[in-house]
Amino acid sequence: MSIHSFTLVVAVFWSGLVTAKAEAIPPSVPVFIKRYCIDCHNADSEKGDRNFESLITSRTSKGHHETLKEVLDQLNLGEMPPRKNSIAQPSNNERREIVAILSDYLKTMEAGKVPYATIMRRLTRYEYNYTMRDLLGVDTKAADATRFFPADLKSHGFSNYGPAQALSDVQLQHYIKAARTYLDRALVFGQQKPDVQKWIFKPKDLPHEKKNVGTVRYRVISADGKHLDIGHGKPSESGPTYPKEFAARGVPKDGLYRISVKATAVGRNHPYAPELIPADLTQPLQMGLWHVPGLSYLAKRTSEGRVLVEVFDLADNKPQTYEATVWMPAGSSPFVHWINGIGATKGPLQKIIQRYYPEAKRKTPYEVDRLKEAGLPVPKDALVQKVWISDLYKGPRIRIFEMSIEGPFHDQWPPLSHQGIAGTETNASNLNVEQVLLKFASKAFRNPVKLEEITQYIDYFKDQTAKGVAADEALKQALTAMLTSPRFLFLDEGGEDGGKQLDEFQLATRLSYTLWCSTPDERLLNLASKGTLSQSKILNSEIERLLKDDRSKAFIKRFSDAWLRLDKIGSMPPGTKQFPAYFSDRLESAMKNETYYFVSHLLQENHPISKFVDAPYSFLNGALARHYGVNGVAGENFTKVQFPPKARRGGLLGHASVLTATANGVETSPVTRGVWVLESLLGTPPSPPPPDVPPIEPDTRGAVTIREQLTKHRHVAACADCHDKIDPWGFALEFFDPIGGLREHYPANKERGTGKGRRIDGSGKLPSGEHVRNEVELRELLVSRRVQLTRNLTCKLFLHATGREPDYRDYKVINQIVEKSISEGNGFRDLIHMVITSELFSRR
Amino acid sequence: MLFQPTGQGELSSLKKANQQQISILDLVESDARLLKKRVGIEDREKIDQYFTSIRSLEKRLTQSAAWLDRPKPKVSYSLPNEPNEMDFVDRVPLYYDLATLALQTDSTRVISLEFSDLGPNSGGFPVTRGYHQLTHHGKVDSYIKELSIIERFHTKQFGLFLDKLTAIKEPNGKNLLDNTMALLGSGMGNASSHSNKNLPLLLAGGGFKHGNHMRFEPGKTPASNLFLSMLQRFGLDTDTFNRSSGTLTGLETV
Repeated sequence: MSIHSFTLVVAVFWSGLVTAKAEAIPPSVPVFIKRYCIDCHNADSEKGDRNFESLITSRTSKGHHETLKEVLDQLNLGEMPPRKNSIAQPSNNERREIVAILSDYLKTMEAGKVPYATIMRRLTRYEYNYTMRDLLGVDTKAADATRFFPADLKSHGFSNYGPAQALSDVQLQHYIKAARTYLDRALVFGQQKPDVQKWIFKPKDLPHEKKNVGTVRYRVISADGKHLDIGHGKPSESGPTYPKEFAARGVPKDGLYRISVKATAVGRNHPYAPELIPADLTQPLQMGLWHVPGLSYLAKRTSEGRVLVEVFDLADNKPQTYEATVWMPAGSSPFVHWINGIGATKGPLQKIIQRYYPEAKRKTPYEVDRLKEAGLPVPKDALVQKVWISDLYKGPRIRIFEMSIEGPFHDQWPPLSHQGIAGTETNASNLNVEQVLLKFASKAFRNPVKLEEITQYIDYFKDQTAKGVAADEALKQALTAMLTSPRFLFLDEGGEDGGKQLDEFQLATRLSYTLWCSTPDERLLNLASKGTLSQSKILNSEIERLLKDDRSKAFIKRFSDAWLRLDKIGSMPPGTKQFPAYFSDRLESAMKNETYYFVSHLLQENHPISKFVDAPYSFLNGALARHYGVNGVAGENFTKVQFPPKARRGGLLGHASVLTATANGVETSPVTRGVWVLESLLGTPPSPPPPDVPPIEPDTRGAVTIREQLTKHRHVAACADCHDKIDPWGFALEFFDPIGGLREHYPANKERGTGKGRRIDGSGKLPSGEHVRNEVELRELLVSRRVQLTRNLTCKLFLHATGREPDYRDYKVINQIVEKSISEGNGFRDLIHMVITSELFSRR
Repeated sequence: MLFQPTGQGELSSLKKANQQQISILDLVESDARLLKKRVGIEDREKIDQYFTSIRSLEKRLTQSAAWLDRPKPKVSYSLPNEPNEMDFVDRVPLYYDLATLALQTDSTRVISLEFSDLGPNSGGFPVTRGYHQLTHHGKVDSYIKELSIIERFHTKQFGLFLDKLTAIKEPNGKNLLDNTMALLGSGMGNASSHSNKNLPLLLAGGGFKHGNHMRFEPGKTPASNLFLSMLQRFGLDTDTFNRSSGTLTGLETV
């Protein structure tokens, strides 16, 4: 909730394009509706807010088009009529027949009306960044030039869905600026290869103190100056440790730098009572390494723009050199931090002083004043610190011996990013600019461009240089313009006619944006120019090549984010008191990574689709394993963990990412989770709630459970229709708290998430009549619905790949793919092949 | 920077960048025309959106070129040291100070101010829970009590802001609030149930007749009607906004 004032709200709407012709509805349709639907969907009961009476009396489809489409969808899915004893069911033949008639009718109605084609898509923010990385050969992680782009609008999680996308003048201006930023990064006109330098920092060059009395931060240098102990720390820290003088200027040039830190962990086995040290010492002590593009990013309360390079698990009492090589823009500087530390040192240290080292306690001026006021004797040296906690402390710390930066490394000069555009020439005046622009345009616009198509850019360059603008500047301007052109920003799949075959270059583009979320590489464009990419043997081998390439990580991440709605994570963070580990253990990124590793594994090993919901393993790091109560995993790296049979985890339903994305950070809602199962797994999203029905208002006074609230809700018939279909799926997941931790009881103290409240009841009756009691039974049930799972995944893959929502005109092909997939082992990798080689993929 | 003069060097590079952006827009326009010829009917809407964006950006760049030459207003106001280090409760009044100055000096005609998170130290409020957590109060008294502390604060600060505007005389003899529409509100009518209906909205100034609580039949009057009334009052020639069904019935000018 937020307070706005003077708000100007800008909203963009997509109006439907359907204007169906009014033609007679085939007579069998009203007959069918009268027989099987009207008892519930009439003017009196309007179940699900649907009334079909006028459909029966109407002669034309005028005004009924959308309703008929819904009817068809429901029949196709077998959801309607509901399978209850009292409700008459059409025979399979009747069902098939009416589906065929309705499909044909709607198809005729819509011929030429609704675009049966992808609406032209603009690159999403993430596609833009991946494209820049691959097209220009630049790093886009540090000082991300798209940081201030307006957020992409999404349709059910997918931001590459053309109809939902918008463009504004603000976005256009950001495109100009971002292109220029990345071009400046790529091109090195007039520059010499910079010399490799090495900067070595000793403990005295880092922020430090010689003694510590138990303050918020603890950075103590040893007497001989050989090491620095860092005793405070948490993931988001305002006291980073960095080379102080160096950071004022940072590295002199853009480039690759090797950052080395000689360090060790000390004091993981400490002599104090364990509860005094608020850190998980079953895990190795971890040192985070970041870099920031400028000193201002090291100020308190800044975190945006810091790049986390790596988290190192430190060996205990064994100094080692930890290093990472990373691209940094000029002015950058690295810093390290104890990332899984004890937070501020003051609290724990004061307790330790009190209990173990009373001699290190000194009176505060305040206490001295109190003594004086009371007329008590004040020792002469009351304010003198005689013993320092830093000389006695044996608690956990990370110990730094040395830090160094070396670089910038360039294995070639000019760098590949420059060569990709201008070859080895670093004097822009010597370039054949026509050729440079022509070559660049063909790559950027993803198809061969003729000279006459880019004359305006060439003329601009000539005009500018004639006016005295330097050649490199004029060239960068022309290139910036190309990267702002709609031919670059939009995926041009051309042509007036829907359903038209894509040409080879369009196919190459669609393929690479599907599996890399980025621009096609040279090999794909070569195959396209030979005209052989569409040959099924070559297409299949290219799919394999793209999937094996590192760039396909983008597919795993972006597709999972959209399909499983992981993009919602982080928008409603949990309470810090209720779920401290969420922050201290950086669970947010860990849980997303679990899902990415899992999806990637199923893809690599071509596992059957049912494994998505029921796999006896997952991928965990130390923090996540602790969150799940799994033993034997420590440290930052993810490893495959095998679960025992019938374990509570296993499959997406046990992933903390999914369970967090479907809660609001504070409490769970079976409705939200139920909708997620229906939408993301089964592909049968419930209809939105009818207007004027108030949402559930949680009343947590006393111990009223969400189940009781929902039961009340379901007493209202209008609600019951849908909620009977939604809630049972979600109830079975109630054993997982808002961040996916297991629980048997609701917490008694909601605020702190502690204590045993009411016992959780996960039981429910699905509309199909089946009962489930918990997530294990739910999993089994979902496995038995593999046709539906496969169908949904196929549709989601199509949506991701084509930016178009598949509709009934695609169902024939989709059903064929589902059947084929199931008869051939139902492998995920195979399914991706089937989707990409299908006629739907290669059609506009 | 609202009130700090721009240096000569920076000014000329800003102007240059402005000019460059305008010429880039000229360049890409012909590509847009080329594309428009090739693509399908529905895609042309996308290209038209692109053209519209070019036009508005050109207009904005031309406007800001004029702004660049306008001297920055001189104000006798200085921010305290390290305002970002201050607690939320101490920072909020500063935003309103800046908003007042910006309106007073005609540095802008539109300001939007959004507050959400409280930041560290509970924002300086005597509360023990996070703002988001409190909004899910579940009717628990202790939650509602803490939530009220925060929301009373916001309402009070808004009131103080209105006082400031009232105290400033404008050349037309009216005060600054008479010439400014100030709207306070929230995107949630009831955050506990996550309902965006029945939004709390408080409008002041702008030469409207005020002083009463306007109630509307549930579900009949979209909030957009108010926004449409405001846009028209602002001088925009438009008769729809979002889901508006007209201007707000009963909202009249003085």
